[in-house]
Amino acid sequence: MKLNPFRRERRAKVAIRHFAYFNARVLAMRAKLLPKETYPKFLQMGIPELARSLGESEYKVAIEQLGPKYRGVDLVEFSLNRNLATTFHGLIEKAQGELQSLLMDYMRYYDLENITTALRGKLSGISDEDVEEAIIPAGSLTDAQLKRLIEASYDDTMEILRKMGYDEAVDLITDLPLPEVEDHLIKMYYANLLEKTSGGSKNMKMFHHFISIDIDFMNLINFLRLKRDGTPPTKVMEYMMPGGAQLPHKKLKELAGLDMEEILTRIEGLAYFREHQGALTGEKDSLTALEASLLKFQLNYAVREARQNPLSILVVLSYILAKRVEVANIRNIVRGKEGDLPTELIRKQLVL
Amino acid sequence: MAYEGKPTRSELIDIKRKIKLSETGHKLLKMKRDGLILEFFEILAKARDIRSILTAEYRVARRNLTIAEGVEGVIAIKAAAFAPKDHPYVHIRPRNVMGVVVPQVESRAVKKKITERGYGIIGSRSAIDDAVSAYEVLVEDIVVAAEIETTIRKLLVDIEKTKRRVNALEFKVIPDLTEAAAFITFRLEEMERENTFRLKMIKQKSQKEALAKARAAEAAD
Repeated sequence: MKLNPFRRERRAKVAIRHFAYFNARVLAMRAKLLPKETYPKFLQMGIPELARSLGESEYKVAIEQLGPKYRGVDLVEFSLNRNLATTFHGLIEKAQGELQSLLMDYMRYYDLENITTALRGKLSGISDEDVEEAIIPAGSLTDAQLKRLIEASYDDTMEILRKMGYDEAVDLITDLPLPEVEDHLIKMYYANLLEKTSGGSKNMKMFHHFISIDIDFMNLINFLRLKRDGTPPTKVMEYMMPGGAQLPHKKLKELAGLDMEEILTRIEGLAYFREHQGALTGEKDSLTALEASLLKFQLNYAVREARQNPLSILVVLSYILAKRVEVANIRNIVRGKEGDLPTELIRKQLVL
Repeated sequence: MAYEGKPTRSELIDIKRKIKLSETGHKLLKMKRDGLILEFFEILAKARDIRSILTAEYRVARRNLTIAEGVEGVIAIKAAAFAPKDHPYVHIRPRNVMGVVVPQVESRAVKKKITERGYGIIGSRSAIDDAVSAYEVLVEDIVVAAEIETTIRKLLVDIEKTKRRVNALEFKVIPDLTEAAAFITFRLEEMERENTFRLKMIKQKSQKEALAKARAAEAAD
């Protein structure tokens, strides 16, 4: 249906007004994120001190709720997850219209993770309690739906998934082994996001570009992982997702035939590494530092773009990313401290 | 211990045969003991190496797992741990070292390509690969260590057993048999002497009787 110019303008105004209101709330939430000066302090603290400190912050409610059930590092980590889930659910509830639908689609990633975890648990005979612990209810599935999914038998799970609208996933599960299903689901998730955001408003384009960068980073890391493991080029390409911003499928195919040294030299020429020279060549054995560098780039990009476009979807996307980074940083610190890792090594894993 | 059997010639032959057998056994067991000790020291060096290797590898594996738990969260690691369907297994075959049966343990399907590990590639992070690789190396070396340490334990038990047998032969069985043989020889010689003496006495007696008979006949004439 074609809208007349007056109605289209009115609808655009409503959307902008909603973005202004929603982004103001997101910015207020963003202001509550831990400042980067907090992390060096956390690095000096012990786990109980850190838990107490978190108990006085935004994580207070989650820590109080889970306090009777968990202790120490587990309490911190599960509280972080619960807070993440609550925050993301809050964002979806606050958003309206197209924005809400986009956010729900974006958060479906957690649904996929939860579904595959539940299926892995069933196939490996893991108890429901353990699987329940392994779930992060940050996606569009409600707690009740997740509980049903966990408690159901394998066959019933398929029925539940069909009812939830995951028909494609069920069809894949019946045909392929679970790891391949997991990969297919993620590919489908990104393809779906790219399709939904192609064309349309400026916001859609921004979202599309944000997703393309996300795809680039995932492809790049997985590409290097597979090449490092000696996987043949054709097999490597099976795991690559189309739609990257700077690393399209064609370029990846070209790189797949080269040896590791050449690949690293070529990749270092990408815009992502201008500010991170040596991130690749310095970390040949482990890619975790490179992953941290890429995440930092993505966060910086999103924050910069969000500042330049205060009425865009990038404000909420940059917040989501920043929140995930905050949770990952705290988790890195507490787990590192529990495992007696040297402070410098923990610091290297942080995205500051 | 004094010999309690019958001091007969056949017994002596039997004991002499036993002495010969014991001496051969003693010589062989001594050789076996020395061979086992040599083998033990060779494996001991390997055991010392594998212990230090295991300690270092365990440290790396723990470090990588901690990093992975930090990067991905303990939940994702647990979820990835649910993933593998094919578990590694060990194949044990007996191996003979100087008569001691020790296990030869081979591990199979421990090291896997990242595409065969059972977790999805696209959704996981490289920290999991590092942790899994480190644990694969560790598990493989644990199997090697299990073989070496079991061999050492079995060798030690057998060295001890062989040492006891050698000592028993050297200080108990062979001296007792030698003593018994000496005793029987002495007894046989004594019986020989007694016999000779008896024969002489009989001869003397019969000569005396013959003489007495001759004198009586002369007197009657």
